[in-house]
Amino acid sequence: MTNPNQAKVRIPEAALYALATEREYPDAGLLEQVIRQYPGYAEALTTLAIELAVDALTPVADIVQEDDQEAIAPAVSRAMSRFENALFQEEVQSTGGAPFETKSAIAVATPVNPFSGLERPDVREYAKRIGANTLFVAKLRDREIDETTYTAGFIKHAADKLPVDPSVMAAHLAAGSIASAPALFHKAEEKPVAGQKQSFEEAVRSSGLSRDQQKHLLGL
Amino acid sequence: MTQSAKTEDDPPDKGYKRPARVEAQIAAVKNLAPVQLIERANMRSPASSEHLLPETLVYLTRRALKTGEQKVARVLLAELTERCFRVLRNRINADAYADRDTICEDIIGEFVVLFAKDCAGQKTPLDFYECRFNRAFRGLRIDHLRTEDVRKDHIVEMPTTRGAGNEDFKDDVAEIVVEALRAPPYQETAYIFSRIKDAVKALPTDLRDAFVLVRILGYKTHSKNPDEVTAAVRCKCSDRMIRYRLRQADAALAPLLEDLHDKS
Repeated sequence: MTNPNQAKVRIPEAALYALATEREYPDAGLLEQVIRQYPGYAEALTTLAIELAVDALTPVADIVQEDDQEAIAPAVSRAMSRFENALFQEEVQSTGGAPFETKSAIAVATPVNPFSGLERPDVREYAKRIGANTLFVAKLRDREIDETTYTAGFIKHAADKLPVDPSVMAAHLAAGSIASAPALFHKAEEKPVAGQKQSFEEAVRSSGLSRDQQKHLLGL
Repeated sequence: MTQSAKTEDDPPDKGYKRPARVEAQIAAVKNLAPVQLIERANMRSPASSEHLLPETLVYLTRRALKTGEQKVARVLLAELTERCFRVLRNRINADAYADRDTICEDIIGEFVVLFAKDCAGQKTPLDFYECRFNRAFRGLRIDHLRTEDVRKDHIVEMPTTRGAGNEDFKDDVAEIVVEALRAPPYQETAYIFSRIKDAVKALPTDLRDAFVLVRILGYKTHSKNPDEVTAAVRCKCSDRMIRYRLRQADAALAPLLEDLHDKS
Protein backbone atom coordinates (compact mmCIF):
# COMPACT_ATOMS: atom_id res chain seq x y z
CA MET A 1 0.00 0.00 0.00
CA THR A 2 2.83 2.36 0.81
CA ASN A 3 3.75 4.84 -1.87
CA PRO A 4 7.25 6.12 -1.02
CA ASN A 5 6.30 9.66 -1.99
CA GLN A 6 3.23 9.63 0.25
CA ALA A 7 5.11 7.98 3.10
CA LYS A 8 7.44 10.97 3.39
CA VAL A 9 4.66 13.55 3.32
CA ARG A 10 3.98 15.26 6.64
CA ILE A 11 0.32 15.37 7.47
CA PRO A 12 -1.19 18.82 8.21
CA GLU A 13 -1.28 19.40 11.95
CA ALA A 14 -5.05 19.79 12.09
CA ALA A 15 -5.55 16.41 10.44
CA LEU A 16 -2.88 14.72 12.50
CA TYR A 17 -4.26 15.80 15.85
CA ALA A 18 -7.89 15.26 14.87
CA LEU A 19 -7.03 11.67 14.07
CA ALA A 20 -4.73 11.09 17.02
CA THR A 21 -6.55 12.70 19.92
CA GLU A 22 -10.23 11.89 19.44
CA ARG A 23 -9.87 8.37 20.81
CA GLU A 24 -7.18 5.82 21.55
CA TYR A 25 -7.12 4.80 17.90
CA PRO A 26 -9.43 5.96 15.10
CA ASP A 27 -12.20 3.87 13.62
CA ALA A 28 -13.17 3.78 9.95
CA GLY A 29 -15.72 6.56 10.40
CA LEU A 30 -13.25 9.01 11.91
CA LEU A 31 -10.55 8.18 9.38
CA GLU A 32 -12.94 8.73 6.46
CA GLN A 33 -14.13 11.98 7.99
CA VAL A 34 -10.58 13.31 8.18
CA ILE A 35 -9.73 12.01 4.70
CA ARG A 36 -12.75 13.83 3.28
CA GLN A 37 -11.30 17.06 4.68
CA TYR A 38 -7.77 16.26 3.50
CA PRO A 39 -8.20 14.04 0.42
CA GLY A 40 -4.66 14.69 -0.75
CA TYR A 41 -3.32 12.91 2.31
CA ALA A 42 -5.51 9.78 2.14
CA GLU A 43 -2.66 7.32 1.99
CA ALA A 44 -0.58 9.01 4.68
CA LEU A 45 -3.62 9.30 6.95
CA THR A 46 -4.50 5.64 6.43
CA THR A 47 -0.98 4.61 7.35
CA LEU A 48 -1.08 6.85 10.39
CA ALA A 49 -4.40 5.35 11.52
CA ILE A 50 -3.03 1.83 11.15
CA GLU A 51 0.11 2.73 13.09
CA LEU A 52 -1.97 4.35 15.84
CA ALA A 53 -3.96 1.14 16.21
CA VAL A 54 -0.83 -1.00 16.20
CA ASP A 55 0.79 1.30 18.75
CA ALA A 56 -2.24 0.88 20.99
CA LEU A 57 -1.38 -2.81 21.08
CA THR A 58 1.63 -1.95 23.23
CA PRO A 59 0.51 -0.59 26.58
CA VAL A 60 2.93 1.60 28.47
CA ALA A 61 3.27 -1.03 31.18
CA ASP A 62 4.85 -3.40 28.66
CA ILE A 63 7.70 -1.07 27.89
CA VAL A 64 11.10 -1.50 29.45
CA GLN A 65 12.00 1.68 31.28
CA GLU A 66 15.37 3.21 30.61
CA ASP A 67 17.11 5.91 32.55
CA ASP A 68 20.13 6.91 30.55
CA GLN A 69 20.87 10.38 31.86
CA GLU A 70 24.01 10.63 29.73
CA ALA A 71 21.88 10.50 26.61
CA ILE A 72 18.94 12.43 27.95
CA ALA A 73 20.55 15.58 29.37
CA PRO A 74 22.42 16.67 26.21
CA ALA A 75 19.36 15.94 24.09
CA VAL A 76 17.17 18.09 26.29
CA SER A 77 19.80 20.81 26.21
CA ARG A 78 19.85 20.78 22.42
CA ALA A 79 16.07 20.84 22.28
CA MET A 80 16.03 23.89 24.51
CA SER A 81 18.63 25.47 22.28
CA ARG A 82 16.36 24.82 19.34
CA PHE A 83 13.51 26.43 21.24
CA GLU A 84 15.62 29.52 21.88
CA ASN A 85 16.53 29.74 18.21
CA ALA A 86 12.92 29.40 17.17
CA LEU A 87 11.89 32.04 19.65
CA PHE A 88 14.59 34.32 18.30
CA GLN A 89 13.41 33.77 14.75
CA GLU A 90 9.84 34.50 15.71
CA GLU A 91 10.99 37.71 17.33
CA VAL A 92 12.91 38.68 14.21
CA GLN A 93 9.92 38.03 11.99
CA SER A 94 7.52 39.86 14.26
CA THR A 95 9.74 42.94 14.16
CA GLY A 96 9.73 43.01 10.38
CA GLY A 97 13.10 41.39 9.84
CA ALA A 98 15.13 43.63 12.10
CA PRO A 99 17.18 41.01 13.90
CA PHE A 100 19.18 43.40 16.02
CA GLU A 101 16.34 45.43 17.48
CA THR A 102 14.00 42.92 18.93
CA LYS A 103 11.37 43.60 21.47
CA SER A 104 11.80 40.80 23.97
CA ALA A 105 14.34 40.22 26.63
CA ILE A 106 15.13 36.90 25.01
CA ALA A 107 16.54 38.35 21.85
CA VAL A 108 20.22 39.10 21.71
CA ALA A 109 22.25 41.64 19.76
CA THR A 110 23.91 39.14 17.43
CA PRO A 111 22.63 36.13 15.56
CA VAL A 112 22.27 33.08 17.74
CA ASN A 113 25.32 30.86 17.66
CA PRO A 114 23.69 27.46 17.33
CA PHE A 115 26.86 25.81 18.63
CA SER A 116 27.07 27.83 21.83
CA GLY A 117 25.24 25.29 23.97
CA LEU A 118 27.34 22.34 22.88
CA GLU A 119 29.74 20.71 25.29
CA ARG A 120 32.76 18.79 24.08
CA PRO A 121 30.94 15.41 23.84
CA ASP A 122 28.10 17.13 22.02
CA VAL A 123 30.53 18.54 19.49
CA ARG A 124 32.07 15.12 18.91
CA GLU A 125 28.63 13.65 18.42
CA TYR A 126 27.62 16.45 16.06
CA ALA A 127 30.84 16.05 14.08
CA LYS A 128 30.00 12.39 13.65
CA ARG A 129 26.50 13.24 12.53
CA ILE A 130 27.64 15.59 9.79
CA GLY A 131 30.45 13.28 8.71
CA ALA A 132 33.33 15.48 9.88
CA ASN A 133 35.56 15.97 12.94
CA THR A 134 35.73 18.41 15.83
CA LEU A 135 38.31 20.61 14.11
CA PHE A 136 35.97 21.19 11.22
CA VAL A 137 33.04 21.84 13.57
CA ALA A 138 35.15 24.41 15.40
CA LYS A 139 35.65 26.21 12.09
CA LEU A 140 31.90 26.34 11.65
CA ARG A 141 31.34 27.43 15.21
CA ASP A 142 33.93 30.19 15.03
CA ARG A 143 32.88 31.30 11.55
CA GLU A 144 36.31 30.78 10.07
CA ILE A 145 34.97 29.94 6.64
CA ASP A 146 34.06 32.46 3.95
CA GLU A 147 30.27 32.39 4.00
CA THR A 148 30.05 32.99 0.26
CA THR A 149 31.71 29.63 -0.45
CA TYR A 150 29.29 27.34 1.37
CA THR A 151 26.88 25.27 -0.65
CA ALA A 152 23.19 25.48 0.21
CA GLY A 153 23.21 21.71 0.55
CA PHE A 154 25.92 21.82 3.18
CA ILE A 155 24.19 24.54 5.19
CA LYS A 156 20.99 22.52 5.23
CA HIS A 157 22.91 19.37 6.16
CA ALA A 158 24.76 21.16 8.98
CA ALA A 159 21.52 22.70 10.25
CA ASP A 160 19.46 19.53 10.05
CA LYS A 161 21.97 17.55 12.07
CA LEU A 162 22.19 20.05 14.93
CA PRO A 163 19.21 20.54 14.57
CA VAL A 164 18.33 24.16 13.85
CA ASP A 165 16.54 25.90 11.07
CA PRO A 166 18.83 26.39 8.04
CA SER A 167 18.23 30.13 8.22
CA VAL A 168 19.64 30.20 11.77
CA MET A 169 22.71 28.29 10.63
CA ALA A 170 23.10 30.56 7.59
CA ALA A 171 22.81 33.68 9.75
CA HIS A 172 25.45 32.37 12.12
CA LEU A 173 27.88 31.39 9.37
CA ALA A 174 27.45 34.76 7.67
CA ALA A 175 28.25 36.80 10.77
CA GLY A 176 31.76 38.14 11.35
CA SER A 177 34.40 35.66 12.41
CA ILE A 178 35.18 35.28 16.08
CA ALA A 179 38.16 34.07 17.96
CA SER A 180 37.65 30.75 19.62
CA ALA A 181 36.51 31.74 23.10
CA PRO A 182 37.14 28.54 25.03
CA ALA A 183 39.99 26.76 23.32
CA LEU A 184 38.23 23.46 23.58
CA PHE A 185 38.92 22.01 20.22
CA HIS A 186 42.27 23.33 19.17
CA LYS A 187 45.79 22.45 20.07
CA ALA A 188 47.68 25.61 20.98
CA GLU A 189 49.59 25.89 17.71
CA GLU A 190 46.43 25.39 15.68
CA LYS A 191 44.26 28.02 17.29
CA PRO A 192 42.42 30.01 14.68
CA VAL A 193 42.97 33.70 14.22
CA ALA A 194 40.01 35.99 13.74
CA GLY A 195 39.83 37.57 10.35
CA GLN A 196 41.53 34.85 8.32
CA LYS A 197 38.80 33.00 6.48
CA GLN A 198 39.21 29.88 4.43
CA SER A 199 36.99 28.88 1.58
CA PHE A 200 34.63 26.04 2.32
CA GLU A 201 36.69 23.71 0.15
CA GLU A 202 39.95 24.75 1.82
CA ALA A 203 38.39 24.20 5.22
CA VAL A 204 37.25 20.72 4.24
CA ARG A 205 40.65 19.85 2.74
CA SER A 206 42.67 21.15 5.69
CA SER A 207 40.76 19.64 8.60
CA GLY A 208 42.24 16.16 8.61
CA LEU A 209 39.14 14.58 7.15
CA SER A 210 39.25 11.29 5.29
CA ARG A 211 38.86 11.27 1.52
CA ASP A 212 35.35 9.88 1.86
CA GLN A 213 34.39 12.57 4.35
CA GLN A 214 35.78 15.30 2.08
CA LYS A 215 33.98 13.88 -0.91
CA HIS A 216 30.73 13.69 1.01
CA LEU A 217 30.88 17.25 2.36
CA LEU A 218 31.98 18.83 -0.89
CA GLY A 219 29.29 16.93 -2.76
CA LEU A 220 26.44 18.33 -0.71
CA MET B 1 2.45 37.94 21.44
CA THR B 2 -1.04 38.75 20.43
CA GLN B 3 -2.68 35.93 22.34
CA SER B 4 -3.29 36.11 26.03
CA ALA B 5 -2.65 33.15 28.25
CA LYS B 6 -5.48 30.73 28.53
CA THR B 7 -7.26 30.26 31.80
CA GLU B 8 -9.71 27.63 32.97
CA ASP B 9 -12.40 30.10 31.95
CA ASP B 10 -11.02 30.09 28.46
CA PRO B 11 -10.79 26.40 27.60
CA PRO B 12 -9.10 25.21 24.43
CA ASP B 13 -11.16 25.18 21.27
CA LYS B 14 -11.73 22.33 18.77
CA GLY B 15 -14.51 21.04 20.97
CA TYR B 16 -12.05 19.69 23.49
CA LYS B 17 -12.09 20.54 27.14
CA ARG B 18 -9.40 19.95 29.65
CA PRO B 19 -10.19 16.94 31.83
CA ALA B 20 -11.52 17.79 35.28
CA ARG B 21 -8.33 16.62 36.99
CA VAL B 22 -6.28 18.96 34.80
CA GLU B 23 -8.61 21.87 35.51
CA ALA B 24 -8.39 21.12 39.22
CA GLN B 25 -4.61 20.99 39.18
CA ILE B 26 -4.32 24.21 37.19
CA ALA B 27 -6.62 25.92 39.67
CA ALA B 28 -4.50 24.62 42.54
CA VAL B 29 -1.12 25.74 41.19
CA LYS B 30 -1.75 28.76 39.00
CA ASN B 31 -1.18 31.24 41.81
CA LEU B 32 1.95 29.63 43.20
CA ALA B 33 5.09 31.75 43.31
CA PRO B 34 7.60 30.99 40.53
CA VAL B 35 9.97 29.24 42.91
CA GLN B 36 7.17 26.98 44.11
CA LEU B 37 6.12 26.20 40.55
CA ILE B 38 9.66 25.20 39.72
CA GLU B 39 9.78 22.96 42.79
CA ARG B 40 6.56 21.29 41.71
CA ALA B 41 7.82 20.82 38.18
CA ASN B 42 10.85 19.00 39.51
CA MET B 43 8.75 16.40 41.32
CA ARG B 44 9.23 13.50 39.00
CA SER B 45 7.31 10.67 40.58
CA PRO B 46 3.87 10.31 38.96
CA ALA B 47 2.73 8.63 42.16
CA SER B 48 3.21 11.87 44.10
CA SER B 49 0.18 14.09 44.58
CA GLU B 50 2.50 17.02 43.88
CA HIS B 51 3.43 15.71 40.44
CA LEU B 52 2.38 18.10 37.68
CA LEU B 53 0.43 16.59 34.82
CA PRO B 54 1.86 17.20 31.34
CA GLU B 55 -1.28 19.12 30.39
CA THR B 56 -0.69 21.41 33.36
CA LEU B 57 2.94 21.91 32.36
CA VAL B 58 1.84 22.90 28.85
CA TYR B 59 -0.64 25.40 30.26
CA LEU B 60 1.86 26.88 32.72
CA THR B 61 4.64 27.10 30.14
CA ARG B 62 2.41 28.90 27.64
CA ARG B 63 1.24 31.28 30.30
CA ALA B 64 4.76 31.98 31.53
CA LEU B 65 6.00 32.68 28.02
CA LYS B 66 3.17 35.05 27.30
CA THR B 67 3.51 36.94 30.54
CA GLY B 68 7.27 37.30 30.20
CA GLU B 69 8.24 34.93 33.02
CA GLN B 70 11.05 33.57 30.94
CA LYS B 71 12.95 31.72 33.63
CA VAL B 72 9.88 29.84 34.81
CA ALA B 73 8.92 29.07 31.23
CA ARG B 74 12.32 27.56 30.48
CA VAL B 75 12.38 25.39 33.59
CA LEU B 76 8.88 24.09 32.93
CA LEU B 77 9.58 23.47 29.26
CA ALA B 78 12.85 21.72 30.04
CA GLU B 79 11.06 19.41 32.45
CA LEU B 80 8.35 18.66 29.92
CA THR B 81 10.95 18.08 27.23
CA GLU B 82 12.88 15.64 29.40
CA ARG B 83 9.73 13.69 30.15
CA CYS B 84 8.94 13.56 26.45
CA PHE B 85 12.44 12.40 25.58
CA ARG B 86 12.20 9.57 28.13
CA VAL B 87 8.85 8.51 26.71
CA LEU B 88 10.29 8.49 23.21
CA ARG B 89 13.32 6.43 24.16
CA ASN B 90 11.05 3.94 25.87
CA ARG B 91 8.60 3.80 23.02
CA ILE B 92 10.97 3.71 20.06
CA ASN B 93 12.73 0.42 19.67
CA ALA B 94 16.47 0.86 19.24
CA ASP B 95 16.62 -2.45 17.37
CA ALA B 96 14.22 -1.14 14.75
CA TYR B 97 15.69 2.36 14.53
CA ALA B 98 19.47 2.46 14.57
CA ASP B 99 19.43 6.25 14.90
CA ARG B 100 16.81 6.25 17.63
CA ASP B 101 18.32 9.09 19.63
CA THR B 102 18.50 11.34 16.59
CA ILE B 103 14.87 10.58 15.83
CA CYS B 104 13.92 11.31 19.44
CA GLU B 105 15.73 14.64 19.23
CA ASP B 106 14.02 15.53 15.99
CA ILE B 107 10.64 14.88 17.57
CA ILE B 108 11.24 16.84 20.77
CA GLY B 109 12.82 19.59 18.66
CA GLU B 110 9.63 19.80 16.65
CA PHE B 111 7.62 19.80 19.85
CA VAL B 112 9.45 22.67 21.59
CA VAL B 113 9.26 24.86 18.50
CA LEU B 114 5.47 24.83 18.93
CA PHE B 115 5.92 26.86 22.11
CA ALA B 116 8.01 29.48 20.33
CA LYS B 117 5.36 29.81 17.63
CA ASP B 118 2.60 29.92 20.21
CA CYS B 119 4.43 32.65 22.10
CA ALA B 120 4.60 34.67 18.89
CA GLY B 121 0.85 34.36 18.42
CA GLN B 122 0.89 31.75 15.69
CA LYS B 123 -1.74 29.06 15.53
CA THR B 124 -0.38 25.81 16.96
CA PRO B 125 -1.84 22.50 18.09
CA LEU B 126 -0.86 23.14 21.71
CA ASP B 127 -4.53 23.25 22.71
CA PHE B 128 -4.62 19.52 21.97
CA TYR B 129 -1.65 19.06 24.28
CA GLU B 130 -3.41 20.96 27.05
CA CYS B 131 -6.36 18.59 26.84
CA ARG B 132 -4.98 15.20 25.83
CA PHE B 133 -1.26 15.39 26.06
CA ASN B 134 -0.40 11.73 25.77
CA ARG B 135 -2.55 11.16 22.70
CA ALA B 136 -1.29 14.32 21.03
CA PHE B 137 2.35 13.50 21.65
CA ARG B 138 1.78 9.93 20.57
CA GLY B 139 0.33 11.24 17.31
CA LEU B 140 3.40 13.40 16.77
CA ARG B 141 5.70 10.44 17.45
CA ILE B 142 3.88 8.05 15.18
CA ASP B 143 3.56 10.56 12.36
CA HIS B 144 7.27 11.25 12.60
CA LEU B 145 8.13 7.56 12.54
CA ARG B 146 5.81 7.09 9.58
CA THR B 147 7.98 9.40 7.55
CA GLU B 148 11.13 7.56 8.57
CA ASP B 149 10.05 5.00 5.99
CA VAL B 150 10.96 1.96 8.02
CA ARG B 151 7.71 0.17 7.29
CA LYS B 152 8.88 -2.91 5.48
CA ASP B 153 6.86 -3.29 2.36
CA HIS B 154 5.86 -6.87 2.03
CA ILE B 155 3.71 -8.17 -0.75
CA VAL B 156 2.14 -11.57 -0.40
CA GLU B 157 1.46 -13.14 -3.76
CA MET B 158 -2.07 -14.39 -4.08
CA PRO B 159 -2.48 -17.91 -5.46
CA THR B 160 -4.16 -18.05 -8.83
CA THR B 161 -6.67 -20.72 -7.79
CA ARG B 162 -10.16 -19.29 -7.68
CA GLY B 163 -11.20 -21.27 -4.61
CA ALA B 164 -9.09 -19.06 -2.38
CA GLY B 165 -11.74 -16.37 -2.12
CA ASN B 166 -14.62 -18.50 -0.99
CA GLU B 167 -13.75 -19.40 2.56
CA ASP B 168 -15.67 -17.92 5.47
CA PHE B 169 -13.93 -15.31 7.59
CA LYS B 170 -13.37 -15.85 11.23
CA ASP B 171 -15.99 -13.40 12.41
CA ASP B 172 -14.96 -13.65 16.04
CA VAL B 173 -11.38 -12.53 15.37
CA ALA B 174 -12.20 -8.82 15.46
CA GLU B 175 -14.06 -9.17 18.72
CA ILE B 176 -11.23 -11.10 20.34
CA VAL B 177 -8.52 -8.71 19.20
CA VAL B 178 -10.46 -5.67 20.39
CA GLU B 179 -11.03 -7.47 23.69
CA ALA B 180 -7.29 -8.12 23.84
CA LEU B 181 -6.62 -4.43 23.28
CA ARG B 182 -8.78 -3.47 26.21
CA ALA B 183 -7.95 -6.33 28.56
CA PRO B 184 -6.51 -5.35 31.93
CA PRO B 185 -3.08 -6.89 32.43
CA TYR B 186 -4.13 -8.90 35.48
CA GLN B 187 -6.68 -11.06 33.70
CA GLU B 188 -6.07 -14.79 33.61
CA THR B 189 -6.02 -14.58 29.83
CA ALA B 190 -3.60 -11.65 29.82
CA TYR B 191 -0.69 -13.75 28.63
CA ILE B 192 -2.60 -15.03 25.61
CA PHE B 193 -3.93 -11.55 24.85
CA SER B 194 -0.40 -10.28 24.99
CA ARG B 195 0.70 -12.95 22.51
CA ILE B 196 -2.22 -12.08 20.21
CA LYS B 197 -1.16 -8.44 20.22
CA ASP B 198 2.45 -9.36 19.55
CA ALA B 199 1.35 -11.62 16.71
CA VAL B 200 -0.67 -8.79 15.12
CA LYS B 201 2.31 -6.46 15.34
CA ALA B 202 4.58 -9.10 13.82
CA LEU B 203 2.40 -9.68 10.74
CA PRO B 204 3.92 -8.70 7.38
CA THR B 205 2.94 -5.13 6.55
CA ASP B 206 0.33 -5.83 3.91
CA LEU B 207 -1.36 -8.52 6.01
CA ARG B 208 -1.25 -6.29 9.05
CA ASP B 209 -2.69 -3.32 7.16
CA ALA B 210 -5.60 -5.43 5.93
CA PHE B 211 -6.10 -6.95 9.36
CA VAL B 212 -6.04 -3.63 11.23
CA LEU B 213 -8.30 -1.85 8.73
CA VAL B 214 -10.93 -4.58 8.82
CA ARG B 215 -10.67 -6.20 12.24
CA ILE B 216 -9.78 -3.16 14.36
CA LEU B 217 -10.81 0.00 12.50
CA GLY B 218 -13.98 -1.63 11.17
CA TYR B 219 -13.70 -1.27 7.39
CA LYS B 220 -15.61 -3.70 5.20
CA THR B 221 -13.61 -5.90 2.86
CA HIS B 222 -15.98 -5.17 0.01
CA SER B 223 -19.30 -3.46 -0.66
CA LYS B 224 -22.01 -3.51 -3.28
CA ASN B 225 -22.29 0.24 -2.86
CA PRO B 226 -19.70 1.73 -5.22
CA ASP B 227 -19.50 4.89 -3.09
CA GLU B 228 -18.60 3.05 0.09
CA VAL B 229 -14.91 3.16 0.94
CA THR B 230 -13.64 -0.31 1.81
CA ALA B 231 -10.34 -1.70 3.04
CA ALA B 232 -9.57 -2.64 -0.55
CA VAL B 233 -9.89 1.02 -1.58
CA ARG B 234 -7.64 2.15 1.25
CA CYS B 235 -5.06 -0.54 0.42
CA LYS B 236 -5.37 0.14 -3.30
CA CYS B 237 -5.92 -3.51 -4.17
CA SER B 238 -8.77 -5.74 -5.21
CA ASP B 239 -11.50 -7.03 -2.91
CA ARG B 240 -10.21 -10.50 -3.52
CA MET B 241 -6.69 -9.53 -2.46
CA ILE B 242 -7.94 -7.98 0.77
CA ARG B 243 -9.89 -11.12 1.61
CA TYR B 244 -6.86 -13.21 0.86
CA ARG B 245 -4.60 -11.11 3.08
CA LEU B 246 -7.17 -11.19 5.83
CA ARG B 247 -7.35 -14.94 5.67
CA GLN B 248 -3.57 -15.17 5.87
CA ALA B 249 -3.57 -12.92 8.92
CA ASP B 250 -6.37 -14.89 10.56
CA ALA B 251 -4.50 -18.10 9.89
CA ALA B 252 -1.41 -16.71 11.61
CA LEU B 253 -3.47 -15.87 14.68
CA ALA B 254 -5.61 -19.02 14.69
CA PRO B 255 -3.42 -21.08 17.07
CA LEU B 256 -3.50 -18.27 19.62
CA LEU B 257 -7.25 -17.97 19.37
CA GLU B 258 -7.57 -21.70 19.96
CA ASP B 259 -5.44 -21.31 23.09
CA LEU B 260 -7.80 -18.59 24.23
CA HIS B 261 -10.84 -20.79 23.66
CA ASP B 262 -9.19 -23.62 25.59
CA LYS B 263 -8.50 -21.28 28.48
CA SER B 264 -12.01 -19.86 28.69
